[in-house]
Amino acid sequence: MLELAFKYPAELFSRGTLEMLWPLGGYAAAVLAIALLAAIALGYFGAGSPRRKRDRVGLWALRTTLLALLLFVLLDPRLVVETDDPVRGHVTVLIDDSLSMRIRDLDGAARSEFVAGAFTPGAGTLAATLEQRFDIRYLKFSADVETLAPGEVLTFSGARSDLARALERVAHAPDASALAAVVLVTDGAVEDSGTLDHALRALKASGVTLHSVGVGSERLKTDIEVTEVRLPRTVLRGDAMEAEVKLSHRGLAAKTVTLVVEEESAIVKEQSLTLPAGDRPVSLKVPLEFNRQGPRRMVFRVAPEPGEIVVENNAAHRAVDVRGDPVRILHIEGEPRFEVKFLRRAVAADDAIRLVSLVRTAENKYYRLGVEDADELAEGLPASEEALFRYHAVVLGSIGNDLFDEALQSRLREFVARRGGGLVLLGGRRAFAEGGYSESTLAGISPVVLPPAASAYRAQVPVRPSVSHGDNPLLRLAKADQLYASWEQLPPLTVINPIRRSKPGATTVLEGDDGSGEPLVILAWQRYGRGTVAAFPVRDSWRWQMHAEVPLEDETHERLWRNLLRHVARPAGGRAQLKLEPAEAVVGESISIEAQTLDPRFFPLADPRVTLEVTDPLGQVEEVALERAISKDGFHRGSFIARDIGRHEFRLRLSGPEGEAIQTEASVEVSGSGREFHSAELHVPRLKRLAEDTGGRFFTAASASEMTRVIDDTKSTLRVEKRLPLRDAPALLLALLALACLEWAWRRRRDMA
Amino acid sequence: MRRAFEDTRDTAFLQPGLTMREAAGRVLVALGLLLASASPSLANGELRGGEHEFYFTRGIYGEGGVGAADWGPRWAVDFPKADEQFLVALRRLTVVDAFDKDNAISIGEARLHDFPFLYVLEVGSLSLTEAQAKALREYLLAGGFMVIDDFWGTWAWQNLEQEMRLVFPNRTIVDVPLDHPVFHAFYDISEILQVPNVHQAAGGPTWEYDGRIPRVRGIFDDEGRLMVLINWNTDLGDAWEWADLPSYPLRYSTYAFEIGINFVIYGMSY
Repeated sequence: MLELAFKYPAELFSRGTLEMLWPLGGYAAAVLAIALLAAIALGYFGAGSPRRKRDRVGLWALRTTLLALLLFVLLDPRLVVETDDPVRGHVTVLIDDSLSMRIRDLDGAARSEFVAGAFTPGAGTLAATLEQRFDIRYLKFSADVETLAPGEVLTFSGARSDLARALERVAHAPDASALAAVVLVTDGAVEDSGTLDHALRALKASGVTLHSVGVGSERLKTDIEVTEVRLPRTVLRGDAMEAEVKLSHRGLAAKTVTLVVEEESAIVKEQSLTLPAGDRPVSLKVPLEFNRQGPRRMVFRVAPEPGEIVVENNAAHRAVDVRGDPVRILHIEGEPRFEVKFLRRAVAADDAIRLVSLVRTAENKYYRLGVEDADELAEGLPASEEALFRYHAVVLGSIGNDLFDEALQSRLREFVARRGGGLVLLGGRRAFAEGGYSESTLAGISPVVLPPAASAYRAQVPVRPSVSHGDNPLLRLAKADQLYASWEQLPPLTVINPIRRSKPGATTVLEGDDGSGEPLVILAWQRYGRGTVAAFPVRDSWRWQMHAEVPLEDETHERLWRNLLRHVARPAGGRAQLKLEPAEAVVGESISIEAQTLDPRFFPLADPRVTLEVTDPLGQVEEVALERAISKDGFHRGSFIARDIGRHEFRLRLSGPEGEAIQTEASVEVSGSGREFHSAELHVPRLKRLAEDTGGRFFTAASASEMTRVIDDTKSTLRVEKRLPLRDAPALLLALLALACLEWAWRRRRDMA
Repeated sequence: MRRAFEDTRDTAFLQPGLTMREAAGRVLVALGLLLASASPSLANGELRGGEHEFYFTRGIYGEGGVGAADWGPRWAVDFPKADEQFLVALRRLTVVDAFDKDNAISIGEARLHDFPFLYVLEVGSLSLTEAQAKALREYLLAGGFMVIDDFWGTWAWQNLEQEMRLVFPNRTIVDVPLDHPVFHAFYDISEILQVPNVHQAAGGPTWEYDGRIPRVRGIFDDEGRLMVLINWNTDLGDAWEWADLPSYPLRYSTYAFEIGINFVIYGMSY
C-alpha cells in the first residue's frame, strides 16, 4: 500500500534519508513559512473575509496545507538510499609461470600444457568462456607479478613461486572490491607458505573471492627428494659438524638408497639407508668436516630411481662459509695445573684454534704460553675490555674470586653478552662455589646453579651423556664415522665442585654418577646475550688422555676440547660482520646486505668508512653502495641483484677512526631453479584453504570447467548512492486534489464560491 | 746420592756475604723444613692421588723396595728427604697445589698414569724389562714428563742410552738449548751448573767419574715437546736433600731448586 502511494517500498524509506532542493538554510525556510502564513492569515482575517469565525479558520487551514504541500512538491523531494546494483563482473586470472609447471605429471602431459590450453588469453578454452561473461585481467607470477599482455605466451621459466606476493598485489589493487572473483592457476608449490597467511588475510579484508585451480598430481608415483638440509651457514675451519638431511619418498618403501655429499664437486661422504615403509619421510645425520677455508658449495644428492618424473629434487645445495682465521682462546688459571698442559696438547694440532694460556705460578707472577708478542697479557689478567675482547672465548679455571674480582667478572660478562664471546667455567679447587663465586656475577651468567657454599666434596665419577641431549653433535668424540666414544671405557673424572642443577635454559649434555642417586652436572651450556657460557666442573679432564687404559690413539680428550672450544667460540664474530639474505638466491633475485661495524669494545662504530665489493662467478668485481641505517647504529644496508648463476663473493672492508683496516667475507650461491622442483606435488590442502577461506572453491585440472558456472553464480554488484524522486508520488497528487476539492466544496456550501 | 751423612761442621746457616736472594732462599728452606717436620709422615708405598694437583712422583725400577738393606735400591737414592725438601720449596715459592710428601711408584704400574710428572735417578743402574719399556713409552707419549737426575760419566750415559733405545728406538737424545722454555718457565736459568754430591760440595772436584761437563739433554715428541729431560753429570737430588745443611753451598741448592721448579712448571704446561 505504501509502495502504491509513495512509489517505493517501505524498506527503502526505513534506511533512506530525505533530501530537498532548497538552496537556503533552515532559518530562511522558517522565516518564509511564517511570512506565508501571515500573508494567508491577512487574506482570511482582514477586510472582506468570511464573517463566521469557523469558516475563516477552516478555509485558512485548508489553504495553508494546500500551499505547504505544493511547496513541498516544488522543492523536488528525493529519497536518498545506498543500493547494490548488479554490474558486469571483473575477474583476475593469476597464472603460475614458474619452472615447476613444466613437470609432466598429468598423464604424460606437462602442467604448463594444460595451463596454455585452458588459460591462454583469447585462445584458451576456459579463458574464452570467462571472457564472454566477464572483463578479464591476466596476471602471471613467479618471483614477480606481471600483467600478461594480449598474445603473450607463458614461458614457465620462473625460478621462484612467490604466491604470497602475487595474492597481496591482487588484494591491494584499487578495484579489488569490484572483482567478481580471482582465479588462481598453480600447483601450489611455493617457497614459504608462512607468508601466505598474511596474503590470505589481505584477500579476506578486501572481500575478494578466490577460486583455485590446482594443476598437477597430488601424489607422484615414484619420487625421492632431498627435502631439507640443516647445516650452519658459517663454520670454523676444521669443524666437525653434522648435517641433518631429510628425505621424502614415494613408491620406494624398503628401497636402499645412497646419499652422496659433494664439496666443491668432490665426493666427501656417502651414506646408505633403507627407506621406511609408507610415505614416511626419513632423517639422517651426516658427519662432515670442513678443512678448507673459504666459501664451500655443498651438494646432497640421491641418484634418480627408475620411473622418477622429477629428478631435479634429488639434490639440495647449501653454501657454507668456512672461516679460516683461527679463533683465539684465553685459558686463565690461578695456579699451575695439568689441565693447562693437556688442554694445550688437545688443541695443538687444530690450526683453527690459537690457545693462549695465562697461568699464575706465584703470588704475583704469571706464566704466559702461546702469546703473539711480548706485550700480550704482559700485565697479567686482562685489564681492559679491549684486551679481553681480542679473544673469541675464555676458559676460566681454578682462580678464586679474590683474584678474579667483581670488576673482572663484570668485564667477562660483557665479553659474553656484548662481544658474543664464549666462556668455559672449568672445575678446580678455586672454581665455582669452592672459588667463592656462589653470589657473584659469574654465578649469574653460569649455566649451572652454584651451591650456596663451598664443600669438601671429592669423588671420581664415571661420566655419561645425559638422557635428553646425549646425541648432541658436540659429543661426537670418536674418530671419523664411529658414532660416539665408548663412555663405559672412559676413566672416571675427579669432581670437587659438586653441582647437580643446571639452569632452566641450559643444555646439559654430560652427567656424572657418584652413587647418590642425583646426577652431577658435568657439561652444560646456555646462551647469555650474544655468547655462550659452558660449565665443565671437573678437575682433571686430562685423565681421558693420560689414563693407562685409554689407548694412545684415542682422541676423546682432544675432540671433546676442540668441539667445546669451537662451540663456544663460534658465535663470536669480528668487528666487521656481514649478513646476506637469502643464503641461496635465484637469478634476478635481490640479495639484501646488512653490514655491522664495531669498535674494539664492540660498540657500534661511530663513523666508519665502509666499502663492499661483490665478485661474481665470472670474476668481475662490482662495488655496491651501502647506506647507513638510520634506526640502528653501526649498521649499513644495501642490496644486490644476482644476474649470474654461481657463487657471488661479498667482501666488506672497514676503516675505523684510527685507520685500522678490517675486512670480512661472505658468499651467496645463485642458482637457476632455486627450489622449484622441491615439494613439487600438487598442494591441494593449501589451495583448498585459500579458496574456502575467501568463499571460493577449489578445482582440479579435470574439474576446472565447472569453475565458470560457479563464478556465474557469484553476483557481481556495485554499491551506489541513489536519489529517488518523490514529487510525482501519487499520494502527493491525490492530497493536493483532495485539499483543492475540499476547499471548493466548503466555499460552495457557504455560498462563498 | 743418598749416603749416611754425619758432617757436623759448624757452618753458619746465614753466612756473611750472602745475597738477599740467597739469604731468602735459606730462610724459606728452613721454614719449610720446620713445617715439614711437623707433618705426620706417611708410610712409603701408600696409595695416593687425587687430593692435590701435583705429586712429586719417583719412579721405582730394579729389584728391592723401599727400605732395602744397606744403601737401598738405586732408585731410592736421596729418598724421601730430597723429594720432601724439594716439595717444601715448590710449595713455598710457587702456588702449585703440591702434595708435600714423597710418592714412589713402579715404572710399568698402571697407577703411574695418574701422575704425569716422574722423577728417576741413578739411571746408570737402570734396567728396564720389555714390559716396563713399553709402559714407559706409553706413559710418555700419553703426556707424561720424566726428569732424570744424578748419573755420572760415560758408562752411566751408555746405560741410559741403551735403556732409552728400548723405550724409543727411533728417537734421539739431544742437548736442550738454554733458550728452551724449560729454562725460563719460572726462573730464568742462564747457565748449566754442575751440582756436586754432598761430599764434594765443600771443595775440590765437583764431578764424579769422567763426568766433568754437566749436560741437560732431552727426548722430544713429534710436536717438539720435551718428554724426557736428562740431567747428566749433576746431582740435583743431593742439593735438595742437603739444602738444610749449613755447609752445603747455597749456590748449588738455589740452582737445584730453581731448575727443579722450572721442570715442574714446564711439565705442567707443555
